[in-house]
Amino acid sequence: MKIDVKDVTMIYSSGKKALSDVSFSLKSPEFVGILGPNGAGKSTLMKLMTAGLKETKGEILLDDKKLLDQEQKLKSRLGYLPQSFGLFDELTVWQFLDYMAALKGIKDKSEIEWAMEQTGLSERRKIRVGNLSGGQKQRVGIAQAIMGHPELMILDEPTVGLDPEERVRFRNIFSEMSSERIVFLSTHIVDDVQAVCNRVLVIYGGRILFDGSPAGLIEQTVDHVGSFIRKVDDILPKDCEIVSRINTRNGVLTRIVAGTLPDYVDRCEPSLEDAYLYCIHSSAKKEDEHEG
Amino acid sequence: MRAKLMGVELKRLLMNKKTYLVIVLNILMTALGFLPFVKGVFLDPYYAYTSSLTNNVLIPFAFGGFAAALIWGLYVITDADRAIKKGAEEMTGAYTDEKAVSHARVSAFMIVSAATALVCMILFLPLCMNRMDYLFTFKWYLLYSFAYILPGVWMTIALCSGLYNISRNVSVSLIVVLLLTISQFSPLSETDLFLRWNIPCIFEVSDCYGSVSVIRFLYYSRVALLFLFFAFYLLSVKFIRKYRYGALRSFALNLKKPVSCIPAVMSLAAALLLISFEPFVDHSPVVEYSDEWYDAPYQGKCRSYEAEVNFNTLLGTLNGELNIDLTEAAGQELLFEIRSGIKVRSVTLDGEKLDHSIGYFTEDNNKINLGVKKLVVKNPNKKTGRLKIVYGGYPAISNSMYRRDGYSFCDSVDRDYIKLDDVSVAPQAWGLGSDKLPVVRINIPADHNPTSWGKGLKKIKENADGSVCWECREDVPIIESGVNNTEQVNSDTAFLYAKKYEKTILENRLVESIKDVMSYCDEHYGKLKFADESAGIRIQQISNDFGGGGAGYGYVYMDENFLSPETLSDDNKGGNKNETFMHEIIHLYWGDLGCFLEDDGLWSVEGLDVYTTYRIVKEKYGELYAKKYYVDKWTEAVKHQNRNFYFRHPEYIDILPESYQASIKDSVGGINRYNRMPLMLLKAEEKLGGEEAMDEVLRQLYENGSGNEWDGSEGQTMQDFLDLAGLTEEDIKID
Repeated sequence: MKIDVKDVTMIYSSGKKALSDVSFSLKSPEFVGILGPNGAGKSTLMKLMTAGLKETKGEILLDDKKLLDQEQKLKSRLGYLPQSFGLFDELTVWQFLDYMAALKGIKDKSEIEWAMEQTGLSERRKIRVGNLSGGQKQRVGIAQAIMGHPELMILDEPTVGLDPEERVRFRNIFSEMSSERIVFLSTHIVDDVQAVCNRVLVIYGGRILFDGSPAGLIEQTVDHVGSFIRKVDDILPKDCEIVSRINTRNGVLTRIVAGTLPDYVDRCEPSLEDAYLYCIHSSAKKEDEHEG
Repeated sequence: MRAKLMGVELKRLLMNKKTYLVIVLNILMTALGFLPFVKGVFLDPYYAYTSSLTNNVLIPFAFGGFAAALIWGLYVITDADRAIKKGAEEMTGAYTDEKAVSHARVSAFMIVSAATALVCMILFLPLCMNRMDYLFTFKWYLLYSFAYILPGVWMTIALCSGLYNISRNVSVSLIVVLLLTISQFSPLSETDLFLRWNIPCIFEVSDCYGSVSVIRFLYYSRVALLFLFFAFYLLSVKFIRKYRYGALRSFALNLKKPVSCIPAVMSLAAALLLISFEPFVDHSPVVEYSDEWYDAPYQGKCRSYEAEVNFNTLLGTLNGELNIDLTEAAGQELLFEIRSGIKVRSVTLDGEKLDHSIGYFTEDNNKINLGVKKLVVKNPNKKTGRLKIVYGGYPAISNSMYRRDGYSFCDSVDRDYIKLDDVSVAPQAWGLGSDKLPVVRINIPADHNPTSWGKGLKKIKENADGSVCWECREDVPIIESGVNNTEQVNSDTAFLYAKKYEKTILENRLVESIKDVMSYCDEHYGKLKFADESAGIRIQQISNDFGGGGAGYGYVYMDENFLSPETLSDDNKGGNKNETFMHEIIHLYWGDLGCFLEDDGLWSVEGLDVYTTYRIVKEKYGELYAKKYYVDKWTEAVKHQNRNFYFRHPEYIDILPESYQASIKDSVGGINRYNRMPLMLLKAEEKLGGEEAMDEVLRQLYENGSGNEWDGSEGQTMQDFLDLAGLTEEDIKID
């Protein structure tokens, strides 16, 4: 399976431009994480890829054919977890998954069993969805997405509301599944991407800032990450973005990313989080300069 | 996959507690329909003289169906809205076409509502059986209850779902549904039954024969409307939002595949075709008055006037051929009265085709409301020859007939029953003189017993196809024919009744009642006035006929309601069913001699009837029995009435709201008719010096009246009675 997003621009009827000339390709098997701040355009991009929206400009191809011309083909191969979704509270977990299985055209009931097992819902199969906690509902959402082993899984912040242990478990499940399919996952949690994705997209202001491996993103941040002990009255270096602040006996150990690090800042080995922040930071700076 | 989808939607619906609430409400609303006040919701009280079938099946199920339609409609809208508001749609829409989900949802609603309707039908079956007693027929119960309780609900489900698909707004959808519901009470809906989508018209149907024509029309209109509402729904799915566009842009996008519109277009076409070519009702417009028709022109003379009519009881149609030997056609045109709905297939004069046209009568010549049209045949200067008119079709009812709910709609041609009220079975020429009487032959099923307005209806032969040919002379007949039992009351009198009533007639010895009445009245008042010298009298129970009954030469007919459990249990009229039936038979004698002067007036035919019943009972069972069950009852009722405030102060009635006025007047009228007037007659009997003298007065009264309500006589008034008795009103006044 192959998806090509070509020069896609999306402007909503309200006039808001959500995506601007976005281009990238996905090819099975692949686990792609998309990172970006709120409002960057991640969810819009995902809705476009699930044919929930139609691009204003550009095109999205599914196996070299226009995606919107083969919606049925896409729908039959898709597993989708929207960022916010509602469930039918009156149904039990099993009934809801059975309902979704029917929508997805899944005939084999063992798929429902498997999805419940993977998401730890087997014991809650008879509980009505309305009686589940937020995290449990999120797991039901994940279960419906992975059910049927779809060729394309688009997961919009799937680990929101899950405890750390569950988060790790699920990202491992997604990782395992990505060996045979495309998994396209959006998240705020950089660690998740670093742990399992072999490719990362950084999106900001509707534009793709980076498309490559997590290592590649880190690579381009070398010499832009540093730390120093900051006293109370010390002024922060210009154009830097604070990554972390740790209070110590000598002052605040401050980790920053910046285009040019001052001499008093010790260079550090960049993490993916540093790299993501640097990427966003430098893009925002360029935009400011451009607007200035 | 769609079936699977529908299955899970169904399951989803059944898991929702609200569904069960709606089901319970649906059942409760149907139960509510059995309460007497609901009758007033549908029927004008003036016309609310309904059959047992209408009272116990049509009205409750129509009310249940109407209320259920609104409840289900509300549920459909809120359920669709919930799926969208909660965001489930984004997830479901990613996997399947939202149109398919909508179809599955609507189908699921229809299945559950159909199951609920079935539950209602099963649940209320024993109640209806009990209430209708021997009048209950499962087939009619099934057909009517289903037609009234379900299609309206389905239409509303389709409508609500469609409205929500288009508007995506609960309030807008609900407002439109309510407006469309309210529109059914508008005057426009009175003239076009197709506008009555979820409140179908309540018909006055026959307990005897079920009024198959009503069933045909009811199902025809329901099917046509279902097509229409499904077409709307199918079109509405084209408005289901795509790519988060608005309604119109989504519609334009969804229309890109024109093939997908075929079901909607076909459904719409089917609806429009069915509505346009609906054969049951004559929608002739009321035309401006023209004096062209008011005075029937002299059209000439003929030597013979013969028609033969066949019936297709399966399709409900009649086909006929009229042959007239013209000896002297006076003008360029020949004019006929022909039943609405009947098409003229050909008109020839000695084999040569003649032009003809069918037009409307005007209101002023009093034909517009009777389901007739005028046939004009162009006569090309030929004064003699054999005129042949071949005609046929579905006998339609005038559109003015159904405007008043509760009115009769019983004309029907079916296997067990043929009734063609008011209009002749063959075209009737105007102003065409003849030396010979018209002869009309009708071929009807062998087990039918016909009655007709014509004279001398006789069975003449058995046809090869198993039907029987009956001949009617002297008139072009209006007929009524059913599968009946025949009991010979005496050598001159036969009593014909529908088989359905056999049990109650035997159990209550009702044939004996007729014998008792006829023997008493013949002896005391005189012979029945309608006897055919050669054929005697047939007392024939007919189907539901607003007005009670009538008489013609050689026959009297009585409305089936005379034999209904409600009528036979009316203790106003007699001590038991047998005596109540006597009361109804006495009507054959008194006819409208007593005439209803006014609703709450003191003089009426009912009073004469009750008094006569009392006299027969007294003669049969003795004075004690008659006193206990008649005189004491009358006295008690009159005493009670005398204590009534509004009776003592009628001046206060006028300040009450109209409905109360009508109710009080009705109550006062009832006591006057069934109790006060018999007591007055009893007092007159005393004043006159005994029964013999009283009988003499009544005999004279009977003789003075024509006994035939169709000859224009106005009946005998109280003053006529007082004059004959030599008494004054004061003499017989009851305090």
